[in-house]
Amino acid sequence: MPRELEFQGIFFPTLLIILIIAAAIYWLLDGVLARAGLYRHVWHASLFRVCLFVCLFSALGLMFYD
Amino acid sequence: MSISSNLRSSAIASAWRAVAREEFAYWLQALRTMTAMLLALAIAFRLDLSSPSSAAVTVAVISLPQSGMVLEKSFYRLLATLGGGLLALLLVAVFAQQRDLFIAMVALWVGVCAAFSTWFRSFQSYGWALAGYTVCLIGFPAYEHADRAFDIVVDRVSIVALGILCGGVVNATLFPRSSSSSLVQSVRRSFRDFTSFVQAALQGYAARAELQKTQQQFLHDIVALETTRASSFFEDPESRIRTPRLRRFISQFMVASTTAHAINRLRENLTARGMFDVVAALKPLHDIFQRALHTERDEPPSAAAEAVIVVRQLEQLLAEWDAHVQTAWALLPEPASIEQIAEPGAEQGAQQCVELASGLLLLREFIEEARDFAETYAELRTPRSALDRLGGAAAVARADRLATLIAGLRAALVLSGVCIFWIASAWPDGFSAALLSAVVCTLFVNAPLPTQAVWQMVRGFALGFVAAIICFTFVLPAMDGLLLMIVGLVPFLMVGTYLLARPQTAGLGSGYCMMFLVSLAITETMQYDVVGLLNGGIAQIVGVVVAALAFSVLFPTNTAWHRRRVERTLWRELTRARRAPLTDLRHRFESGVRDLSLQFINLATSEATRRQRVLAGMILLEAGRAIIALRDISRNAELAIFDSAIAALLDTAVDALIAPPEDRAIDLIAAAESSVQALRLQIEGALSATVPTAATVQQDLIALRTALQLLQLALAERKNQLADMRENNAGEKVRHAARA
Repeated sequence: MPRELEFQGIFFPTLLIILIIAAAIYWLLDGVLARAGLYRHVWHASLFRVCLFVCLFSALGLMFYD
Repeated sequence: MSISSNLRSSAIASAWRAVAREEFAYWLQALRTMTAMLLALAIAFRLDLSSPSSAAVTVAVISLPQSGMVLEKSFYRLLATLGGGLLALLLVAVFAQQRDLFIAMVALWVGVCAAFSTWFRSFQSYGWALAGYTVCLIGFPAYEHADRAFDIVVDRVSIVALGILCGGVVNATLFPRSSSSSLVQSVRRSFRDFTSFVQAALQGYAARAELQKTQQQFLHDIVALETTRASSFFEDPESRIRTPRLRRFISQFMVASTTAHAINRLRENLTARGMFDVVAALKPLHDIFQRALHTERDEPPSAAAEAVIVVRQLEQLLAEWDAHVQTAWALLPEPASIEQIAEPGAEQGAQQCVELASGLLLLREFIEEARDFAETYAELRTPRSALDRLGGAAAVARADRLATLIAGLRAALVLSGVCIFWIASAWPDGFSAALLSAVVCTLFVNAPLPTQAVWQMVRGFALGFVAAIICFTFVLPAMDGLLLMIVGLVPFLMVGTYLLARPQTAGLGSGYCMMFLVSLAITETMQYDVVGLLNGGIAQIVGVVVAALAFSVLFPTNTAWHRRRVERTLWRELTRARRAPLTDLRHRFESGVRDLSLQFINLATSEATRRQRVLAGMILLEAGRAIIALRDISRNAELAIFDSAIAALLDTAVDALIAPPEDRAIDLIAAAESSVQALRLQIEGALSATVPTAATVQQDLIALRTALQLLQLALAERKNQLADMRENNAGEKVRHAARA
């Protein structure tokens, strides 16, 4: 996987695309978990959600960058 | 002696504890803001971004007490920066050779944004303001270096995104204060306040002034509920799922509290006319209704789970409604036979029957509204609910169209004026002045007292400027490396972030932080250019002062003329109640009137006028309720004979109410009132042709008659208010003349 992509002469990092994908997956997952009522059983819900996103993004990033 | 001193010392102790808790919250917020700022600075250095201090400024701008608010403001800030950046790029691409056209287009855009900013509320309004001045912020440097325009835009967007990321993560995770828990508290408090308001309105022991105070409180509460709901949307997925229900909750709160008022007014009117029998006949039902609003422990429900009980009790009350109605009719001393009707005094008896039927009808409507309200509250306890399929209408924001135009025109004129001066005088720091004038002209459009808000910010700028000079000349040169620099910055930032956290000094604090960080212009290799620092600072202050002058000179807000415009827009809402399509009209009317009413109340300078305006808002809501009810009833085919009469009457009533209060408004209202009364008497005549009893009463005629009566009461109230105001004005004039 190339580290930078080119669109109409503009270079941008592949990580940006991965970020957007991770955000989309996170959005879905977050909604499902909230509907299931999981966040009520978590001590620090916002910290949990930040960490969830970091895990998702890093996992996807490592998958493409390895 | 010891008891009183003990009491005093415990009172002092609890006051101290309250202050300490508050201060602790402020310092915690300051700590969050500062941590996020330093984090943003450090990352910006690591990523080699061009102006790390801008990332810290972003953190300061989005620093708010609750994490949901931070996220909401961040969202609109990011959106506005992206939009503004793209537009700046477009303008540079199109007008790269045409300086004057470029400036004209930027000024136009800033004007448009200022106008939209006036049209919207809270953070959406902020987003528009930001979209306006971002074009200045990015556009002018990009124009000067058109070859690097794209890089400048990317740089700016990355800096803002970095600031938002740091601010968002730190505020959401470091000892956060969440909006969703505050939303839960406000929802519970709203329902509790509603039940006690109902109690006061039904029993009528609360003084007029107290009910008005509650109403004013409700106006603020409803706005606060809506803002907290919007913030929680960005913070908490559970609140996001509940959005339709929360919107319904707010809307039903408004609708039901207006009906409570109508009931109170009706009861007052009955007492004033000596219809004590009717009041006494309604009393047992009022008591049952009130008990149904409370749990077994005789308390209002403290949480959504307990509201389920209230819903069940209200359902039961509605199911047994007919029996209750029978009891109420039995309590009324009825004319026993035909002979008695012919006797003198029977007139009164028939009138009482009509009044009782009206009172029962209105009460049933109110109980249904209260049931719906409690049901929505109860349904909030689970993440998912069947109610969500019904949807919930969004809050309505209203503004005077001319005021929006003026805000736009002012911003465009100020920016072009400063730019012309900049070009004509070849001022090297003209950019800072132009930028700051645009910032102020767009950011403060919705402040009730924009000039004061701007001056507070100017004081913050001055303070921040002094701090920057001290830090710049004495502290930073001694600090080598990132860690030491942070140590050197912390004391200065602590002052700024603390000021920012306190609501009373938030304007001061934001000015301080912005000026301090922008003036320092911290970069990897600092350039110690004191002349540049002074020139930049002076230019910024000039920009702000020009904008502040524009606010107080160029179409100033809060003049008598402006207040009259707002008042007229407020009363004009009645034409919407008269003409707009009926679906969801109650909600849109209530929401729009409350929005405008609060604007109008906030423009008041004295407590007396404030009370006057709260009262006017209540009258307006009641009149609108009656008008919408009348339109709704006249759709009934059986009442077709009254159609033209109702239509004519609504037109006269609306025209009379929206007439400017200085003119013949009192006479017009009196005329409308008497025509309402004429129709009401005609209907009552039709009703008492057969002596109404529980069995024979014609519900649709009674409904029509009730709506007419409420409209008449609202008209009478407005007439009295105008007469009072006129008397007060006359008194003022006499006093003036005596003094002269």
